[in-house]
Amino acid sequence: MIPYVKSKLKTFVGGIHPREDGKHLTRDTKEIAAPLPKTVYLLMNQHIGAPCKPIVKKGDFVKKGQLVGESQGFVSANIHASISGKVLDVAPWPHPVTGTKSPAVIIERADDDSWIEGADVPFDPDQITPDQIRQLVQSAGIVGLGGATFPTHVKLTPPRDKTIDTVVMNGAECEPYLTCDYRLMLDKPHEIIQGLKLVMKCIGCKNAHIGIEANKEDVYALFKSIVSDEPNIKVDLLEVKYPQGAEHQLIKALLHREFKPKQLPLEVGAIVINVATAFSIYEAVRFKRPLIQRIITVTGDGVEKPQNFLVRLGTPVKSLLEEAMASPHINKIIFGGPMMGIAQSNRDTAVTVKGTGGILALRSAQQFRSRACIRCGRCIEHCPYGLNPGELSIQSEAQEFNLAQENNVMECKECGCCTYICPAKRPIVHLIKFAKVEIAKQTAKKAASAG
Amino acid sequence: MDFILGATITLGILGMIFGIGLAIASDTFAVKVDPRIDSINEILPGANCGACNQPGCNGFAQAVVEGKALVSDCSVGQATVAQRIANIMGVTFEKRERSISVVMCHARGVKDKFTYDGIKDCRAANIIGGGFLGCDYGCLGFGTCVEACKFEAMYMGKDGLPKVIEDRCTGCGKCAVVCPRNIISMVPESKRVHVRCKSLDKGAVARKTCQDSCIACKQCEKKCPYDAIHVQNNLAVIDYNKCTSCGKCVEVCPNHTIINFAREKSRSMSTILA
Repeated sequence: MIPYVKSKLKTFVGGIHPREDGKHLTRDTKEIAAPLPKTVYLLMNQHIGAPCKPIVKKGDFVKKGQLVGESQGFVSANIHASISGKVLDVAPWPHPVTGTKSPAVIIERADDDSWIEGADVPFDPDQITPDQIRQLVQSAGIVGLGGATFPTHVKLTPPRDKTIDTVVMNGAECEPYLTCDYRLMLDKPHEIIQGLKLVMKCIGCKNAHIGIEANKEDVYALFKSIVSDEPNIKVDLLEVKYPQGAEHQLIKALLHREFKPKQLPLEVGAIVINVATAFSIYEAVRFKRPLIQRIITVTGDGVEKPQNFLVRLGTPVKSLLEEAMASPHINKIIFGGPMMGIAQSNRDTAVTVKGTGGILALRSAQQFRSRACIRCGRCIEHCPYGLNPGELSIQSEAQEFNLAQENNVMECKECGCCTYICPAKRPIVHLIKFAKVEIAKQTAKKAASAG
Repeated sequence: MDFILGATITLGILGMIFGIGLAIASDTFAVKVDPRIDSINEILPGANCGACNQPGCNGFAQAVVEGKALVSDCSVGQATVAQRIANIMGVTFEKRERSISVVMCHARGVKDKFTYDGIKDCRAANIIGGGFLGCDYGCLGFGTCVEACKFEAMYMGKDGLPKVIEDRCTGCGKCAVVCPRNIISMVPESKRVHVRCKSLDKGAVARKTCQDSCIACKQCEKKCPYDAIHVQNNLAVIDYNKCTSCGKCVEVCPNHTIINFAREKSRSMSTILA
């Protein structure tokens, strides 16, 4: 319970241990390819940064792997057709993360499922130059698959004045219920290590550090045996704690480097790559396959057969739930894990995006009555970023956004530890989100009036 | 006795020295304040609402004297205050028409997308799943605008929509700023005909979500004799520079989205009294 008890395993200060992590539901299910969906809905903003521009129109015939959304600007990622078929429409569709409608390319599946010419050709990665890797990653539209969906080629292009000495690979998978990374690590360990080596080659750094949570000891042993003759790649067991897989926490735990406010991982000389991202980098470089599918955990007490699925992008959630034998008593569907996931408003229109690692279907939708803050300070103890979430939530409630900004509210990554632990059941993360949005609005307004 | 006398004299001399020192200091280090700032400050309403984009009423008085703001910029004080400030400054001012806030949503029969269980504030509700309301553009109805109004010119009506008491509205525009969906517009007082919808959805979708939505049928555009109303992005928009509030568009609007507030006003006053 007390966060600063010294553990033998590497970890960070703060964080929480959810009592039941629900991972047992899907731990032992080998991932199976979900049946190809009849229709896919490819949203044009599946990443952080500028939305893509649709380059196909209604009635066009597209092949699997064909570019349908062209990235606009450097911080943006291409979107490719995940099935072959006819473009039914290019129309707004509800986005599962933002909740508002965004442009989407809707494709109806045809019978053949072959790659477009030029994709899926083996390529020898030994001869490749760093620039080629970067270019292949960029054209494949790879984003951080841990959930943040930051375009990976931007990460692979650190500013000239910064030196990166270590690539940290995130195999923690700290979010309860999700086992998609675990299954991937068990089934494709060599490919993941290859992907990691490509990243190291790309940014020209010698060392790598892999962090795996202690509840995945089989993966730890497997990785350890693979990299046994490579002293520059270290593998370490981490304490089972949420949010162990967050960039800052992983670097703190593995490399013992501390962050100043507003610092990014690259400013302390490290970049963090998720295992699923490393795997898709390998696929993109070795076989020139764009990112069109990923492993998704469909789990929770609302489905009879919790399962890991290999899912094409833009698959309607309804078909996945049917495949996992959803019960009729589902009251809540969450994209991602229970801590940081986004609850869905409409099960009929929800479609998967690049950042979707899990679909959690729950029978119970608890409603809490929040009370006034009792100043117990538990949120401070558990905040992995060293903030005072309770105070920030009070300031946001009183609409003192400037005060909240002075107290570094923008440093909050909305991991949800404070809300989980709060005995008064205060909606702390929601209040902090509210303050962040309002501060962003004020800053935009100031920037607009300044010029 | 000597003891008391000595103390009194010492204190008296000390007091005199300090007194003279202070008198000299107050004269040499005096901050020169334009007397006009004080007199303008006395005239101003003193609500510190910030509608003039200055830091409070004192800031506005300073800005006027420095020539950074116009005498008529205080929307709360309106023409009377502007006239009195103009007298102090010795300038003439152009009389501007008062703007009042109008709620451009008339949501009826809109179903919720999901059960919202969070903070009772429109701005906070709007960031969760794009707002719980079935319509992506409509009023969320938590009354954040009512809270923001410093002049008690707004209240939440029985239909769950905010209402403006026009006599009290000063046109400061605070309600329009806080509304996360930009539903409230500042419109000149004499313009009485408004399109009470903000939905940019296509006609069929809009009609399904709300009974009172603009379906972009362009009837109003055809009927308008002054070329003042146009359908842009599936929504009829009135150009208030051309509109004469003749009410021709109100008659043809099939969904009763365009409303003539001249008739509406008496009704809203009766709801206040009820």
